[in-house]
Amino acid sequence: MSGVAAATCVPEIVRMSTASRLDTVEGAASSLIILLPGIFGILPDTMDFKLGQFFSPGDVIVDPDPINTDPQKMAESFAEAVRRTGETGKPCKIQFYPIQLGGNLWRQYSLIFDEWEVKVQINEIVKTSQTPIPGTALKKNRLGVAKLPFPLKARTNEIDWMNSSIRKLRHLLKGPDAPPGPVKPSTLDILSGTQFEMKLENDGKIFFNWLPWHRTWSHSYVLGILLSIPVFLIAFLSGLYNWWIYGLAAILGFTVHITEDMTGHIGGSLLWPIHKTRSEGFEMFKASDPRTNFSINYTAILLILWNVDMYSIQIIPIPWWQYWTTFWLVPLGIYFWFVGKKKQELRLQDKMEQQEEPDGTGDLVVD
Amino acid sequence: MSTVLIYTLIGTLAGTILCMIPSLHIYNVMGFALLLYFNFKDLIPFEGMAPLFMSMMVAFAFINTIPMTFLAAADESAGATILPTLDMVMAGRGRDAAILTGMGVFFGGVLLVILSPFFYVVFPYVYKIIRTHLHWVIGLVIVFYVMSEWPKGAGRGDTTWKRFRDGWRNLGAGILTFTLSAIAGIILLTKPLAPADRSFQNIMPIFLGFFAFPSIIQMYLSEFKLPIQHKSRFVNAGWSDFSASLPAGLAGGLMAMTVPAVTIGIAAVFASHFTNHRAIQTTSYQPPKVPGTAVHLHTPEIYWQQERVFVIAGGIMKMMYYIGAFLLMFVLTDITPSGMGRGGLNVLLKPIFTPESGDYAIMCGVILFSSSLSMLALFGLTEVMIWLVPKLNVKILYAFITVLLFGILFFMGGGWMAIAVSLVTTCIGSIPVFFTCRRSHCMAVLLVPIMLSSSGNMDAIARFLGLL
Repeated sequence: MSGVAAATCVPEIVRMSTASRLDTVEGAASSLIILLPGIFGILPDTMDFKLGQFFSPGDVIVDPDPINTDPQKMAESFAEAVRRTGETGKPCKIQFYPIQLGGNLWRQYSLIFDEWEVKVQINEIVKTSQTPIPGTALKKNRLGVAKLPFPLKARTNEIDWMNSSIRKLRHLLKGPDAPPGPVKPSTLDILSGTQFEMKLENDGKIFFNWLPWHRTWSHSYVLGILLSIPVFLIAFLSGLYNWWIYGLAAILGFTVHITEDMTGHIGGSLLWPIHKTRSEGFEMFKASDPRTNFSINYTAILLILWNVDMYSIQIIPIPWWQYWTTFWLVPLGIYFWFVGKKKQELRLQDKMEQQEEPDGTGDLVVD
Repeated sequence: MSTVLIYTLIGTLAGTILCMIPSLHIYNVMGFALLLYFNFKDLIPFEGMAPLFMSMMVAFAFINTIPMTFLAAADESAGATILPTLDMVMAGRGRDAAILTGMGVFFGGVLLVILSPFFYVVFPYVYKIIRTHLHWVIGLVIVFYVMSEWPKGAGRGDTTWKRFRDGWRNLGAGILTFTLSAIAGIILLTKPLAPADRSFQNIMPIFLGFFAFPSIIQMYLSEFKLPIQHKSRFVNAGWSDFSASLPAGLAGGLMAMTVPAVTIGIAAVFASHFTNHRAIQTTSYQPPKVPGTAVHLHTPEIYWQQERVFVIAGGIMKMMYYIGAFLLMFVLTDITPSGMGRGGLNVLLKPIFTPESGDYAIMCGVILFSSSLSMLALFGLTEVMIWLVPKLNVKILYAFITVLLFGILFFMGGGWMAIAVSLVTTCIGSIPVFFTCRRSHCMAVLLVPIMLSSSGNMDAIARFLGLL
């Protein structure tokens, strides 16, 4: 959505995209050029989840038996991957698969990491909506514990020039990083599994990297430019008017996606294949934060409408400041106020619920 | 006034009876509505026509919830509601599922009336801007819809190809369904089965094939048995569920009522990406509560609320899509002097019906009146269904429905050709059923031809396919 919004900032793209039946807009050609930033905007994640992950096989596979799930064996597999990495010095990937019990039923499990220990805990059965079904936890054999032959760490010390530049910039933007706390457990339940790559570092500790195939080669500005070359070529060879603008639209979609991703925790391999390391992100937002997602999408829609009108039919009867105040500032102000209040309410509710676990039945209040 | 009331009553009643037939798509109901009109047009006064059609659609929005919930008869809109409702039915909470959907639909009707100032002051500008850029707006819908379906397989296998094949089961099926539906749409638009004045006959076999017959096949193959349903004086939900459903319902509803060929199955995908706020309160790791565990994974109530929000928002979208799109036909402003209606019924009605200023208020009244009647009917019919379904042999019922639908197709849809077309589209519509991809891929039958026509590329593609 943001890539498309960025493309509409180019007046020529909007004019070309206007329906050709409108003779009031110069250059109106009913072009589908705006699909390019749309396609290229989704492309980085498409390449990761529909392609890249299948090219990243695990060296150690954990595919638990749905009937006789053995958490001890799962924990020992993790320890085995750590041992292999520590002893050989070569990276080792461990792939965990989900436990599917039916069309809509999955057995959830958590991986709990400590510096010298890993625990695997089998939880309740969950639906595809990730809501647990109360009372479905196993009665016995829920926990597996394995000691690790080498210590684990979740953040790498071996940072290159790009990572250190991003860290510096991040510290400038949001102050120093919080002191490292305990590593958050990882929980697996539906659809796809997860993968960690173990890497022995100079301090003798094993850095375990979550989803090593995600946001690597696919999230590179260089790749974006390379992929748009065929678009430039096809447009040129087809003799299209303003042929260069097609490639530009594609690059815009791709780069806006990568830049937006950089605001999160996992960054990207911005200069792959020239520089292959995956950098950290600016850690300004969490990718899962609905407030960011909603406000960015909403802003993009408003920007698209404004640009499309301004560069084509010009029927919006109010000045820009009135448009952005009425439809952006005020609604988003109300939204953030409301969501903030709701979040506080939920936190309170959550504290109470932790004493009495919710069971999904709610309160019988709608008569 | 009495004419409006009488035809609202007739429309609601006719819609209620018609929509108890499992698996009918909204476009099939429109076809029936027009057949009704063509057969009785001398009896129906001009001022009764719009209330009749409007109330039929209102009844559809409410009552098709019943076969969809209790007979697992999914139409395309099922994407917006069916997942949780089927789950609720299997847990004995079918009454909750049906009534909550109905309440969502009712809420959507009230919203439509409340949004009237928005429809008159702001929406005409949005409509005008989108109309001049419709081809790429639909194109982007297609791009996002196809590209945002992610692998459902975990990617198991000892070679890259095996992992890829496992992960791509649903994706490949989705792309195949989409492509075949798009080709079917291009063929049927280039070589229509029926003349323009009977164009709804083109739609009927296609949609029966895409949605009704695959659901029937699925029903035959499954061992569906309705579990005992709990009785309760209350609906298991809170009023806050309704406010939480509002963003998704509004976003999906407005999208479906604005962009042609975007149905609620498709709009729901966009709306859930756009408005899902579940992650505002995430799961947390607490000290263990049970011996033999290391942590207690606490799932907040908002996770369960999503199920109810999904159902209610689906109801709101149904109302905004089915009814809102038609209601916009009556919004006559300086920049939209012919209204802004969209959707099949709008297109089919335009040659025989012209809205006048003042009709909008009447239509709002019709929506509220018919919604109230339909909601009451939903309460009653839900009880009847819960009582009746365990006593019924569902397979015999579906055999009867199959014969009925084939009869309708043969006598009203265009004879053997219509049956042949429906068999072809049944094959296409069965792919999502058996490979668990999105059923709305079948909507490429309308999305692609509309995009191609509005961008001026239809003739070139038809020529390429040898159709011209």
